[in-house]
Amino acid sequence: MIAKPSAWQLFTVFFSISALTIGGGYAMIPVFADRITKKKWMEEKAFYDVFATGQAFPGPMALNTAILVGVRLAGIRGAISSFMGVMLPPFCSIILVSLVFSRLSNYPAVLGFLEGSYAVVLGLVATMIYKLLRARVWKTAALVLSAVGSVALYFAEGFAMPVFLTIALIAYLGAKKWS
Amino acid sequence: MELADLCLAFFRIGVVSFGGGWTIVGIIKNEVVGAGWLPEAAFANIVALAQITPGPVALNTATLVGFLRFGLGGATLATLSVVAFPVISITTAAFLASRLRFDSLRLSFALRVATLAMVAMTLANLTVSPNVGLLTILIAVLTFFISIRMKVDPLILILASGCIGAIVRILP
Repeated sequence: MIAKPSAWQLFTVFFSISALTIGGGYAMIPVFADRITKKKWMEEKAFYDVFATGQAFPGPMALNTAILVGVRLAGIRGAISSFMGVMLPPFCSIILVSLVFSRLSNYPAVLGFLEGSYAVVLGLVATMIYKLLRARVWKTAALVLSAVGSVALYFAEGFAMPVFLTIALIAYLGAKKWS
Repeated sequence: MELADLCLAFFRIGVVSFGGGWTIVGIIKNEVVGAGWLPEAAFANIVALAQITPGPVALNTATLVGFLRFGLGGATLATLSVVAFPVISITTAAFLASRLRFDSLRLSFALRVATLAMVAMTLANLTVSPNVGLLTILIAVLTFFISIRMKVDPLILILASGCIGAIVRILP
């Protein structure tokens, strides 16, 4: 039995998950799946199909998934309420946190805490590269294209978008040989 | 106009925000620090703050840079700019029910190659920063080895490293 949520119900569900889950998309998607299937709005497989579609688009994973779920369950009104639900908590919290931080920024301990947690980002980004490389077999040509692309992106300044799309296009055209 | 330039910069970031989360931080840094919207140190602080608040870092950066430069209105406009392209394209696609089909295997290969380039650039860009000292590198290397060996919640790593950073700062 599949239930149809109202736009408001979609908003409250996505709002609460977005507000309470720290750790970005990877942490949020499983919680989405859990809530949506428990409420019987969608079956789990259907949800993960929607999620996979969202991955083919740019934009935050959680936002893409929520919008697609919204469209599917309640049309354009569903899309808008899911969008607002996911967006409002980070929007408000980062502003509040920065206001609190600007008052505390004279304390060395607070600055030190930020320095320490900045370092984690470097480690996590390196982990991402490692996992991308390990996830499948890479041919040399693809790696060379990536390496050249990253140098180009590094110096691209405001032209990251055309550079990124060019790399993707070259890879798309060469996919048969290089993948 | 300055606000229009800022929105345009975040719109461009939104178009290439494939791969989720930390992939595009390098691009954001180029756009935001390169154009002089924020000094390098302030950007590093935003990256750190973004980790302890909900929401993806691209969104957080857009909101915060808009807020710091132009107040609440700027925050709203910058945030909407960064999600404009993803939201419009995905909603359109959802309604068209994808009549226009790409070869999905080729497309995912293409995005993988371009994403790898972007993540590598992000790592380089975040490492080349006056704020990165020996302690940063040490914590980064440690985080890397811990997270490829074990399943540790990144939040725990963030809090632990934050505390280490704070303690080192307080010590004489």
